[in-house]
Amino acid sequence: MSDFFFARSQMAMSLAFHIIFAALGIGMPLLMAIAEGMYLRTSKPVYLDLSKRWSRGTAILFAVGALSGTVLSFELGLLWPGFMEKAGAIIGMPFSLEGFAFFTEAIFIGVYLYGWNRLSPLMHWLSGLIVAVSGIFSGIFVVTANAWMNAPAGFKMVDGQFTEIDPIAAMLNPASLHEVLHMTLAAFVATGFAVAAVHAFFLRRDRNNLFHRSALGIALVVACVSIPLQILSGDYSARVVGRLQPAKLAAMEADYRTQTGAPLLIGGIPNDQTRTTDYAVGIPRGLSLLLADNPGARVVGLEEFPQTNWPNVRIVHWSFDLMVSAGMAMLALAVWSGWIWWRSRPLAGHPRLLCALVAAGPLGFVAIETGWIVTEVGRQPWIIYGVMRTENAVTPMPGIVAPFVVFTALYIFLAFIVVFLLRRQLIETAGPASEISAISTHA
Amino acid sequence: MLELTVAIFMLLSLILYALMGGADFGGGMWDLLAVGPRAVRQRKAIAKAIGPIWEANHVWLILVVVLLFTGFPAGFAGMMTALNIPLTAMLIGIVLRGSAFIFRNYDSRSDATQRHWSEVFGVASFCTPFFQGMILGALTTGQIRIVNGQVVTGFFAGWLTSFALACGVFALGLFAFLAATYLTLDTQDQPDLQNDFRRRALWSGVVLAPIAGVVLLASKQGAPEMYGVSGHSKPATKGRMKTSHFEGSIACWAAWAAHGRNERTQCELAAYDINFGGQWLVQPADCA
Repeated sequence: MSDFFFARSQMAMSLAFHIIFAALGIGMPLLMAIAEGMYLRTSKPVYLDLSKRWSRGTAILFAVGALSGTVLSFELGLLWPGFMEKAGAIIGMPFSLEGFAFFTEAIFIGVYLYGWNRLSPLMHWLSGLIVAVSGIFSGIFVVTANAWMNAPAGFKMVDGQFTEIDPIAAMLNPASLHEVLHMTLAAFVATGFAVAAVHAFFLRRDRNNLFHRSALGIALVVACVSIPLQILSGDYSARVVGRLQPAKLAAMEADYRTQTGAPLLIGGIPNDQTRTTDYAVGIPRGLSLLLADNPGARVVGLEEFPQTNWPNVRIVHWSFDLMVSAGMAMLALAVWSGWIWWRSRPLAGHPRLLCALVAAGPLGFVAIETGWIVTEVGRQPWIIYGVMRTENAVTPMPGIVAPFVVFTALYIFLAFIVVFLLRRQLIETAGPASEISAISTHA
Repeated sequence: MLELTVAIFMLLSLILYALMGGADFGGGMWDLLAVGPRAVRQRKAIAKAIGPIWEANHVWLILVVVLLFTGFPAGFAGMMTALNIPLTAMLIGIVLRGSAFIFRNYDSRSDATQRHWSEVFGVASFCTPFFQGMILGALTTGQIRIVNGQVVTGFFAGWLTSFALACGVFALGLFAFLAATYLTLDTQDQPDLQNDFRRRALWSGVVLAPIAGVVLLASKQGAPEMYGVSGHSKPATKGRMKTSHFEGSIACWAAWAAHGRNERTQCELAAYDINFGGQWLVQPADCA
């Protein structure tokens, strides 16, 4: 296998690792700020305990995210110098802004963690809010840089050189809005369901534990509010991708032929040779309806593009289907939880729902990972869509397999450390059953 | 003009990284070198000093990288290609050190595994700044050449020279000195500990002087342009393209070297520098 393959693998592995912590770094501060806000309003000590425990976990996750983010800022150049040479000046601005957001987040996480007894309760809560907001902005800036790779704007191409660079236009490129919306909501969905799963797990054995009941309530509210919005933003994303990157959309839908009244293909085995998707479940006119609100609309297929400009159709299509399935499963779970809540029954007294929530814990992250595979693999063979091919950006450095293996091993190792530490944190919290009375989960 | 502005900001970020991040690395070194009856308390003082700031200090390094690729994209691409190996080694050091620190800092129990993590932390604190000094040194050797956007001097140019190695050792010494000075100020409430760190600061300062001398001597052969900065203008024939790409880095290095070279007089200044920068970030630690 080539150095190019390993360079792509190392980048994919680093991003796949980092994005988990980046998403939790956006979602967790919101949860802890909500918990502390509940404490300020109700003065119930359980909420104070909750925000303290969550902030400890957040600190660990944030530290790992900071670390893997530092590595990524170097890897951009170490693996893709050809890309950075041309694009560095254009995407520098969102990265600089991200630096400021990250710095703010880092400082206020410090203030939050070490300032419990120093600041007034209101100021302390505000510092938590600043962490949450700067985390969101940090994510937004980085995602606009990725959006630029998908929908390059803000420059003119003269003799293979980028001129008349306008960094603001580059940042506000046509793909920014949908990517930013979809990623930010994804962070809330994934964090909400993952945290809900952890606390649901403990509630199965100890349904009256007040700590876990309060935690489950807050996490589920965040998850259940975000998931329907996320489905809507996903619909919007698909329409924008169809407009900006029709080849990517065709690969997502495994749609080889251009047709009017295109069916929506689910699953199946895309076959580039025969240009068919075998064994797929087809919903007649579904794709046309989804993309254009018109069952007879014309949808462009992969056949319109030279095969050398196709992404890997199988990976993109299957990842896309997996992401959508995970999203739909979470939506169903949110509806179920909402139904039980609406009928004023405590969720903790519903063992089957708790089991389902535990099982659904990883779904948000499955959706994030597969969603990014759709974005990134779907952009191939381009590193800057339609402008620069990925293979022309890779480092001339030989032996990339070595850093790939080393960093993969380091990250696996780091993942074990994180799981170990978070488990210890949780086992400390799983104290004796607390009083039953005070709180129902929809507090 | 714009390039100069970016270079000035890079210089500031790099100085801040050296002063604050450097002190973190130095803290890790003194953690590994903690000896005597107060070793445990020394380690505690170090952990308390580093704890709240180390994540924030990453930002200065990231800022240097971002400014470099925004202002000097071709230079960045060349640097990342020519110095791929030491940069990767430095990154591995950063990840190991970070992992060890996370484990130590966020694990409540103290047992045998903790001790192993401390060793990883200490060793990585030595390796990482060594590679950083080496990388900065390599950039100033003038051995890395870029022709038509391609690095033509391979992957081993510059960083294996004696000058670059001397720079690596110098960075180690400088960071150890900075950290000890800083810890002296941070342990005012514990006179015996303060005395420990004061002695470490003085000794590392004494050791740093001859190292700085070696760097200066090695630069005559190893980095002639660098050596000539103080005297007359740089050789105009070659390197013009190169210097325009790397001028930011070179300027940073010059300031950094100057900062350390006459450390006797700068000792107090360095302490106040670090204290000024560090104090407002460290403040929350006092109540922990």
